[in-house]
Amino acid sequence: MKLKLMALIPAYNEEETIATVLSGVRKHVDKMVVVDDASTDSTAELAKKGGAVVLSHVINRGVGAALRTGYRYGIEKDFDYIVQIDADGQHDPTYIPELLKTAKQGYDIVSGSRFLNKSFEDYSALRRVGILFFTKLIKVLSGLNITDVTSGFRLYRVKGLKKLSRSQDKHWAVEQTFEAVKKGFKIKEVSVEMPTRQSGESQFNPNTFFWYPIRMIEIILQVLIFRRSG
Amino acid sequence: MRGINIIGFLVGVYLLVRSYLLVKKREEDVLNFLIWLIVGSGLIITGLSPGVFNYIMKVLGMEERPYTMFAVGILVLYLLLFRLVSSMRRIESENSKLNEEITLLKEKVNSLDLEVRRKNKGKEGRTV
Repeated sequence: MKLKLMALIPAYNEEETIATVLSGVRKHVDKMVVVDDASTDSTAELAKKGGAVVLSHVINRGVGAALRTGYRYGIEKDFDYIVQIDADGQHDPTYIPELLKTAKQGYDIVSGSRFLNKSFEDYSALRRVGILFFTKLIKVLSGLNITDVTSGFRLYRVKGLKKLSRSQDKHWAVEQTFEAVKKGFKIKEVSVEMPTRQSGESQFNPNTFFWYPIRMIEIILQVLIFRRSG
Repeated sequence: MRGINIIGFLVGVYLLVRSYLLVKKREEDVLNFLIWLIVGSGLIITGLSPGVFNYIMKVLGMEERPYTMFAVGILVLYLLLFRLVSSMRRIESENSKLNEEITLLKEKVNSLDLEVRRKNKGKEGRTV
């Protein structure tokens, strides 16, 4: 029996890159789903033209919220795997077969890591330090041997995804990884080149940098206190 | 133990029970949990040994009544602020859930609409 794979692409004002991303993803998956997080440009129209199912949020709620909507769609439509990929072109769709192949070896989550190759060197020192700090923290708290806890290029086995709690609207990656480890998920990383984005609006601004550590600490406490082990 | 200490102790126990219930019911509110836990523990400690409270006030330089009232006033303002932040977060979370529901319902309506149109087209074709 052929296993069904859905591509989940959260997008906010990505009209410059969405068509290219979709044309790259199309050949690797059975269905493409773009969750448009209330974009003010023509992202949704371009995604429809590109052959994707477009789920349009009424209000902008952040990447975590867009992913949640996409996961629910994937679960309701009985897909076996979901691969999530950024709409800004940072994630190269040619890695999808490798992620899928690894997942079929029995992993619940396969995550692309930019720290298993040299592509992390393009990132600013502050961002690198932030990612490494939280990766180390998760490593210490959960014992998971991981190099890039904030990576958004992930492939999930839907059966596993169903067991995860509702994640936050923003900064979902650390929360999801930590909870997944607590619930006994099998997680594997694959080396993926992720150059910095060339166009569009980055989610990393001074405001994000200020709030990020506070939100992360809150999220870690939330998983530690409220989420039960699986 | 004076009456005020007993009241403080009981309120402290109530707040600790509230924080425990948050965990039991898995209501994921870290801010609420931490505030109830810290305030509750503080009230129990000062209720059981009032000397601790006097000592803290002395360290903070607030033995005199006007200073104490000022400090209590600020504390009350903080608690009010905390209540507001809590309500705002709850509303944001509900907003987010509604957003998700509306999005998925819209998609279901669109696909049903498409299916109906396709069926109608098929019927028309057969009639012609």
